[in-house]
Amino acid sequence: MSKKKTVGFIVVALWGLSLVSMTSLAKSQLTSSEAEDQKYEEAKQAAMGICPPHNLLDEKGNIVDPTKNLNEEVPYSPKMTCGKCHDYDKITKSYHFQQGKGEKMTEEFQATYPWCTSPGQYGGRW
Amino acid sequence: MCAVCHPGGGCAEFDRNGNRYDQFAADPKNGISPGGTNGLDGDYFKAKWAESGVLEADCLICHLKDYNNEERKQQIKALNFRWAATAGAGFGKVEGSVSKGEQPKLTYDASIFQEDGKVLLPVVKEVSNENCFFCHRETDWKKRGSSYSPRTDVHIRAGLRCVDCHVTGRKAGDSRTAGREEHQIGKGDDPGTLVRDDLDNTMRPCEDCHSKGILNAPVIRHRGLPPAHLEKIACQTCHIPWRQVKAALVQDASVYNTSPRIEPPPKRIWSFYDPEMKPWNYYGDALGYPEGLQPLFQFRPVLGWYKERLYPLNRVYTLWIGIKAEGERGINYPYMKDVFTMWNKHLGAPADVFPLLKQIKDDNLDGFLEINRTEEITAILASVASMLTAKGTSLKGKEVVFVDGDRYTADGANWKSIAKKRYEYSPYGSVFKLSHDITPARNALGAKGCSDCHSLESDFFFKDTMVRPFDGQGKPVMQKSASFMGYSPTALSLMDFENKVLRRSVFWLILAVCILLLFHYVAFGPKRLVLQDSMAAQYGTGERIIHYLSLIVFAMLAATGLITYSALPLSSSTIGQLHTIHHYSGYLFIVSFLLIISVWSRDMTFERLDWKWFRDLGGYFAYRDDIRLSRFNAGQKSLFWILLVISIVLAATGVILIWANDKNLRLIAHGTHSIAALLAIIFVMGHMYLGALANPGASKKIFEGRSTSSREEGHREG
Repeated sequence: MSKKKTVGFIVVALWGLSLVSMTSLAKSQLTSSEAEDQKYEEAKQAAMGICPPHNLLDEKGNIVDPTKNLNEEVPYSPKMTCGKCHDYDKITKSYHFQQGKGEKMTEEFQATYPWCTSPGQYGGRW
Repeated sequence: MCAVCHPGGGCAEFDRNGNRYDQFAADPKNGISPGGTNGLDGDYFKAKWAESGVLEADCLICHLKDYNNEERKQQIKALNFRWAATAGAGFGKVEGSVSKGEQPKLTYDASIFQEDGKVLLPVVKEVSNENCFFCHRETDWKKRGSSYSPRTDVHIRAGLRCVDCHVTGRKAGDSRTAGREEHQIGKGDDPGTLVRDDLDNTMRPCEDCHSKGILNAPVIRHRGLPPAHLEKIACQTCHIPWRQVKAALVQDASVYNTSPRIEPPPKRIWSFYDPEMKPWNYYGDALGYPEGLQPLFQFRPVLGWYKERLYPLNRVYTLWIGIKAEGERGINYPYMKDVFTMWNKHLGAPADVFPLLKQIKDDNLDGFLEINRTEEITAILASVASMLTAKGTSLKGKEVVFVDGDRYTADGANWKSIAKKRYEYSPYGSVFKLSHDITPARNALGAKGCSDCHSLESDFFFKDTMVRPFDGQGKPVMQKSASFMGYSPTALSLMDFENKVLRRSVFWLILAVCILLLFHYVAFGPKRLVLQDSMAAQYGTGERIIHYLSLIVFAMLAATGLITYSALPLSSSTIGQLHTIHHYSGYLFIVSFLLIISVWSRDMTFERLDWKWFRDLGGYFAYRDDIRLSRFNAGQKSLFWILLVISIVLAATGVILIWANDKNLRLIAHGTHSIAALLAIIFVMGHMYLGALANPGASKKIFEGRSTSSREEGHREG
């Protein structure tokens, strides 16, 4: 390989490397910015202390506003309304909502209550 | 009915496969028929999900003050699941019922909306007690005897909120429940409930507030309480000496309850008995009394061991009809509604429908039927088998059994036992560890002294505790709580003697010995010995060091032992520190006494000369001093052997008290240790008196190694 070609190859390689690096750095900058936004959003929510004025939303996410006759006969959806700002999925994974659903039973429990599918109190102990 | 308490979300929103019920039911390709059996799929059996909607997690049940849970309940009963949250929050009025095939009509209350159509709700981050009580008040009454009212609970009276202890989210101290938007509520550890056991004990423990004074909690001192109590006994055990409202002790699901106001009717298949084994119409009470104003009913909770600590418990005894399949470990049961229907039909025509049930009588005449005799058991078993057969239920390879606590029978005569944990009546009956309705410290067990528990009259050890609800006459079989806790009568008798006799008299006895010695000194002593220049070495340096060591260590043991044995108002931690000193001194005493044995045991053999010493009582009741003996006199020899025996007892019982966990062994060791220690103190007091006062010269020789020349062949202090 001639000297000229070698230099050309190195230049192209460096250019490619720079391209990949810059893309990666720009992407990480973007992620960091999103994280910052999320952090700031959480800080704002914490500073508010309580929920600010908000719309009630129905199960389809439509605004319920009887003052403007918008979906005035449709019940509001806690999932859509509260879930707009709060992590509904995370919150509802807690045991007050799950009541044992999906939990693994111990071998002893399973043997004692062969009809049960979880340690929740559905037809379990008296 | 589950949804009356369930806040929505989870299994009130999604089926076992993760499908949202209403969307899955509404999709024609899934072939779900509203109100149909739907292939006996429990998620869709007779449900009308497409019409009723689901119960999404209703955040406002907890977070909205003045949430109307009664309204929510009504909507749920009407199968208006989709509308329940709107009605409960008071956003509007719902008319119509899905259960009646109607389309609910909602009218919003426009006054809650701002001009811009938004709402500003008085939501709270930290939930108020009343919102918790929507679900926890009634359910925690029936089998826990919890009331959560200012009249029964010192914490509620002090204004605490449930979430002050049941912490979650950003305020939680436990990493398992801490975090932004975390909703795993800090929980205790109930033996009978098994949901999320991995989160057990994530709530704020009592010590957290009561050692640091958080929320102005009184800082605990536990004056006079040996720290072992705090290790072995849960706070609740002493601080819930009484329950204030009833809790079901027995749930009998084998007979029919005719009491009024039991709704819905299938609940008549349950008969409850209160802690005194009297019938209790729980459902009637629950309907009849406003929340938080349950009738007062004082009873001592049963105390039992759970995870090596003693807790106040409510164990539920269960009687029921089971179906035992050959080769299977568990015992299944028929549908309660079928057993109810069987009884209901029988009572309509006793002579014609399931006539065998007529044999079941109220033997104890308490107003409730009970199945306790063999013929009654065979009657119910034959009737249930007949009912199941008539329904088309195959009993091939199965037998109908009567389950009575931890045993079952298929014929009323031969019983088989069911394995259980020691704190249970049976694995099928709930066990609740009581934690609420705490009494003020001044009313706790021990506030009036040790004998609150440590006496043969105390309920702590000797409360009658139900073993089986019905004997052949329908009377309960009882045992003392000590038996349930695993204490032996011997250990308890010794405990009683120690606390009633020894603990009260020990200081008087020591005082009496002091007076007697003083009397002796006035009457007979001291011996007038003249110390001469020709004193000769009597004890070597090594002997004297060993003696000093023994004396110092014994003094430490006696002082720390007597202080901790006294009624001085020392804090528990001070008592703990004194115990630590006592323990280490005890080890030193064992070493020092072994050294004494090694240097003096050969000189302690009794000789002929010693009988004369005994005959003259060592000359201590005379003014003469002419008894001639060998290196040690008979009194010293006797003291040596007596103290040797006592020391062996003290060492053995002391080591048991430091290391052993067996409660009976510990009680016996404690009583024996105390008696032996008292004897040792009395003997050593006599020894010191004779050495230091009755024979002033004798003490000099043990401290300086010399004795008077006139007696170097013989007489020493006693």
